[in-house]
Amino acid sequence: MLMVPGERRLSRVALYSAVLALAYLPLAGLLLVNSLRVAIGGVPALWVYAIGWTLFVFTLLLVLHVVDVRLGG
Amino acid sequence: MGGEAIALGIIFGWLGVTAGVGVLATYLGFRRVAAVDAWFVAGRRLGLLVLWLSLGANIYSAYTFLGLPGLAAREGGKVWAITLYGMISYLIGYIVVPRMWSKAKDRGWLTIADAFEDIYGSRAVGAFTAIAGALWSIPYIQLQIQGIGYIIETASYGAMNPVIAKVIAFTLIAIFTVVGGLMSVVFINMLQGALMLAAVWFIGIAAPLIAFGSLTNLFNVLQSYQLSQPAGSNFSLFLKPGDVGWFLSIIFIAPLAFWLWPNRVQNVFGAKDIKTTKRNMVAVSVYQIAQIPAILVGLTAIALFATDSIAMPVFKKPFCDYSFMLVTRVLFPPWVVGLVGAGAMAASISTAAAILHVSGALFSRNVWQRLLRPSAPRRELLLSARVFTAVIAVASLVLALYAPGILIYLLLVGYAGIVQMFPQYILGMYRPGTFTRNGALAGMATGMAIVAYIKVILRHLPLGIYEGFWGLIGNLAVASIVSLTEKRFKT
Repeated sequence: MLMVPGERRLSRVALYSAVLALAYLPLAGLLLVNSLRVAIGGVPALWVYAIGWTLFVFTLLLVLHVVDVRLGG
Repeated sequence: MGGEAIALGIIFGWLGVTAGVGVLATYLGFRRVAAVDAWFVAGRRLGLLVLWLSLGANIYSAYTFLGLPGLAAREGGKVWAITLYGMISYLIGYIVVPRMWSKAKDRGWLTIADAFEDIYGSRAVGAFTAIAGALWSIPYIQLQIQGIGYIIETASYGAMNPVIAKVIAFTLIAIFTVVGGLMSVVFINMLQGALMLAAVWFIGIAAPLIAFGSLTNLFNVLQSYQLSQPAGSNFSLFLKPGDVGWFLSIIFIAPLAFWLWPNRVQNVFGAKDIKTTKRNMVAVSVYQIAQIPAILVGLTAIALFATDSIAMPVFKKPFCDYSFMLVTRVLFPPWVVGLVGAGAMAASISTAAAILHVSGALFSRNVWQRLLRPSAPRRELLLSARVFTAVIAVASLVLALYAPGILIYLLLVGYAGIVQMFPQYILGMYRPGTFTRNGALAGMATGMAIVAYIKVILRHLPLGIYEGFWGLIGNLAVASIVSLTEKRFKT
């Protein structure tokens, strides 16, 4: 389907906003995980969560790049 | 041959090699890119690989090698705010930086101060951002000098005076920075990037395994240490109630400043095209993942202290920032200490050189030429850049010697100052006219003054929230009030 320039700009703004919101989404679980005193593979849950969050944001950046290129970026 | 001779021989040998490459590149560069513009942005022709290595060595420095492990050793879980804000910075950069690049190309901006001057139609605003950018870079340069001192001190196994080592290393790089241009800094950064990455990954993975056999054992030691830590130690594997406000404010505020450091802006403006810029944003973010092994080294340091394998109290300032080098020295032979020290020192030097270089360029172009001496010949402009660079370098050295701070907190002070340019720059690009010239200037000045007040006079964070946040509140309030008032009077 053809996309006019205005739509493309709108979809890119929506994409950027969604990605940024997703990047901060793990904040919602931070305090809960921080209160857990369990370990996963010997590593405290908070540390696993923080490593996962870091890698999640990295993945988001990769996805953003792929989608952005497809949108003509 | 003693361990210190091997380790220091490798470190200073590497320094000699990089300085030689810098001199050679500068010599060749003078012939090929003699225009003043080249001194500023290397002719906008840096390709992906060169820019990737250059940005990596430029961004990742003593704070990754020494500061992050130091904060992990001293305070534990709080350290994740630093890694997270860095990673989020790349997402924000992906959105904002292409716009910065294309605007710079369209409008002919060579420096961040050019951007401000053009957006607000005022040379004074450009000059203000040039000087403010340089001044807020001082803690960042100080961080590098301190880091270099710690590296040499540890690698000398206590045989070398760290003050002398700091002065020698920094003088070398200051001379190189003044003599050379961006082209030679880029060449040096290429060499630093590879060594730096290899060192941090190798030590980060090997150290915990060699010392404790597994991550489980490492964290078991840390759990025990947390319950019976010595007086003055604030280590916690979890966020304490007082840490939450700081953690949140860091991950929201610091990413806004990440791409506004004058030297990073210059790297961005130097990119070949917009696709390179975007690809580079993704590629450079890979460096951020290397902070995870660096943090593990910090944990290894505090666990080695808990098990009496390290005598230095790494939970205390400034010893925490020795963590990376101490772990390397305890667990590995001197030649590894030398290679790792060379990687860490090279990273620090390249970062300091890039910042110093850009500080001089900003002053020369946006203060001396645009504001004070518009008809100054090129020779005079270069001289003014070099004198200003020397002033900034000496100020940083004096602070490193007489008012040393914890590396990560020095970095964050710089960020708190630089982030005050964010609203004026970004709104100026996307929504021109939001702030008037006077509003923009008053807002930035207020924000920076608040940060300086909190850091120098108050000396604690109100409500435990990052000083950059309080500065931004003041900045936005003043910029809005002044701008609205001016607009109302004009209509």
